[in-house]
Formats: sequence, structure tokens, C-alpha cells
Amino acid sequence: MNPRPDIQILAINRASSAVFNDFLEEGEYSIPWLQDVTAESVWTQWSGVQNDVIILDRKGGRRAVYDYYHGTTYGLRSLLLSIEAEGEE
Amino acid sequence: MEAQIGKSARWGWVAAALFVLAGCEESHSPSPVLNVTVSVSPDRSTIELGDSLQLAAHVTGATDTTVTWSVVGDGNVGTVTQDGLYRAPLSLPWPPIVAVTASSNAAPRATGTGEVVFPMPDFALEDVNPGSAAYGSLISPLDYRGSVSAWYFGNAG
Repeated sequence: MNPRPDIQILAINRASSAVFNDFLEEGEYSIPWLQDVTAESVWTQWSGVQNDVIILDRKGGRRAVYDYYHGTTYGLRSLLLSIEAEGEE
Repeated sequence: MEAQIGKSARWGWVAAALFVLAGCEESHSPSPVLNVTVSVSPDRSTIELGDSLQLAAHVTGATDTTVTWSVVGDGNVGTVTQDGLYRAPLSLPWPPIVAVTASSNAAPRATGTGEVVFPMPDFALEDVNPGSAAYGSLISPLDYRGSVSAWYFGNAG
């Protein structure tokens, strides 16, 4: 049996969109949904673009940016698995 | 019809270019072709700001295996010695990736590059998803060191 890949998936909501978080009450999603705030401005600090997925390596370095708007779940999954399989840098 | 004229014109240019190239070859004595390659190891490393990283260059195809090191870009990108010792800047360059290049002294067009990557800026944000195991806690990228992590930039609106 293959070991479960060590990949963590999170979301960061835009600071100005906090009022739209009601959909989370439905309990459909289980990934951490982080609410950005003006004091942190992670979207700005990380140059985040809506629907992009920034992938970090095990040391916190930016390994890739996946354009999920034009991509697919399968494409993202393949990229994550390939990065995870690279092992330690 | 226009397409056909365009196509024949294009072939005319190709023929002319080949003719010129052939002429050049005849009028000059051929120079030795150097098949020099340079590779840098490690080819990719993530290091902390202010840290140093020893890089090595491997040259093939030339008897002179020395290289000249350089950091690509100006400003806050760090420095590299001619022994391949890279020193990172103290503040984060943006984008947080720096290319360090070794170019062969025997064939300067032959280059190899090593990428130096810096951890993304830290933060602490609250997990507001009641369905998440970390609901209500502050989360930082530091919590996920040791794992590959994917950060989706969503917009609930």
C-alpha cells in the first residue's frame, strides 16, 4: 500500500470578502479556510491572484504557482504529487 | 491564392537564407565546435535569509573547467564569490527566487544555473471554517514546514 502523501491544502479568503463566508456553515468543506485581514494582507504579501494555488516546498519556499482558473483538479493533483515525490531538497 | 503566394515567398526566403549560409561556410575556415556544458549543484535549494549556500559547477567538454559565478538581477539578490559561495540577502527579494549562474571560462555561452529559493513571508490567520479540524485557531505557514503545502487564493464573494 502506498503511504498517504504528505500534502496540506488550505485556502485564504480575500480580506474584503469576509462577509461572504456563510457558505462554510453548510459543512461541505473540511480544509482550513483562512480569513485574510488588512493587518496581514497575505494576498498582497504573497502576490496572490484569485484562483491561483501557491505551492510551497517542505522548507516553505515557493515551488510552483498553479492557475486553477484555467486548470483542473486532476492537473493540480498531479502537480502536487510530483512535487511531494521529489522528497527533501 | 494569397496563401499560395505567401507560401512560395516564404520558401524563397528560406532558400535565400540557406544560400547565404552556405556561402558563409565556404568563405570562412570552420571553427572548432565546442560542446561545452555546465551544470550547477544543487540545482535548487530553499534557504533562510542571511544564510550561505555552497554551490558547485561541473563543466564537461572543455579542458578548462573553471567558471565565472554571478547572481542574476540587481539589488537585493545576494552575492556569490568566485568559489561559488552564495550569500543570501537579509531581506526578502521578490519574487523570492534568485538564480545563480556559472558560465564556462572556456565557452562563456555555456552556462548552468542554480535556483535559490526563500521561504514565503510568514503570517497568522484564523481558520474560520467550522468544518475544519483547525477551526478557530491561528494558522501560519510555519505550521506546515516539513510538508508540501498548497495555498488556494479563494474569494468567497
